[in-house]
Amino acid sequence: MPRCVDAVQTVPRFGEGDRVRVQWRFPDGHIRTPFYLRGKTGTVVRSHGAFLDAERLANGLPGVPATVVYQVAFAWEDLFPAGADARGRTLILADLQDNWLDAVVQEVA
Amino acid sequence: MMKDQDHDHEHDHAESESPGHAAPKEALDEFAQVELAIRELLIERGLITQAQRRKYLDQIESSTSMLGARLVAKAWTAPDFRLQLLADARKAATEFLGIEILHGPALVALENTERMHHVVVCTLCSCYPKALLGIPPDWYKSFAYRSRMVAEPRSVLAQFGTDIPDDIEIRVVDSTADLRYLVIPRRPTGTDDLDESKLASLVTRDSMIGVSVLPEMRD
Repeated sequence: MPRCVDAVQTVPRFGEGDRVRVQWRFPDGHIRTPFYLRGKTGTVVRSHGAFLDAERLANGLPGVPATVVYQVAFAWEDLFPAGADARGRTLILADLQDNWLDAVVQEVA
Repeated sequence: MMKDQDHDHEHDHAESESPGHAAPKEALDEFAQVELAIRELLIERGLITQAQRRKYLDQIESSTSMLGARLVAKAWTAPDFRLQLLADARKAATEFLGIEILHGPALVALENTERMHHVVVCTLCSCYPKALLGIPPDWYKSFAYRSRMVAEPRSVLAQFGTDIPDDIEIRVVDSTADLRYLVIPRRPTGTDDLDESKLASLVTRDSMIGVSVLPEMRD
């Protein structure tokens, strides 16, 4: 019997302002990480808290352990460098599961 | 879609057909068959009733953007409520509107200001705060909107007739996962004398998606 409640990862790994890179991988299935963000680096805006793991749920598995979902901001020009829309500052924000994010060591300026 | 593909015979249903030609039975596509089978099982086992299902569908199909508009008008006129809505939109909406949306996805309110404009898209499918805005418009689900709103947001907004000045930051919010987003548009100037219900009547669906801004009121 799958347990309804499992050890929930309640403490977010990342906080506001942390730089994170989206993993560059291409698994099959119902994935909530859009292709256009894979391999890109962004900044955590906030943690939305823990949710049942949508990728596991979509594969017929119990959604545990739960995963923290973050809102991550990407500079628009980092995603679409050839874009013809570059007027003013534009950010793309997306909600991403913890298991898709790696910490980025801050580059020395 | 599947139904149309399966339905490839050539005669025209609108014309009268030869006597004795039985009308072809519309085949249920695979998803419809699965839905029907699960629904019948749930009802047979007493887990849901037909009446509950009907009520739920009625609620979805009859919901409009009016509920979202009431939230926006309340946030404009009640500073405490505005803070509650920004802090926990689902809780604030549930308490104020008296509707049960606690079981739906989590909800976040995004406030447009003189420095920041939010617009919502779901690039992966068509996630949308249906409980507050009703059924999403067809364009929201279109491939063009879903791809172009992230790739060239200022151009897409311009096509909606929405010109965001260059000094306002645009935040395109991709509703990729468990969250749904409601944009709180800026209150139009010239509306100081209007009460909450009049204000609510000004708030459009598109302004709560963020593809438009509300026009100034003129005397």
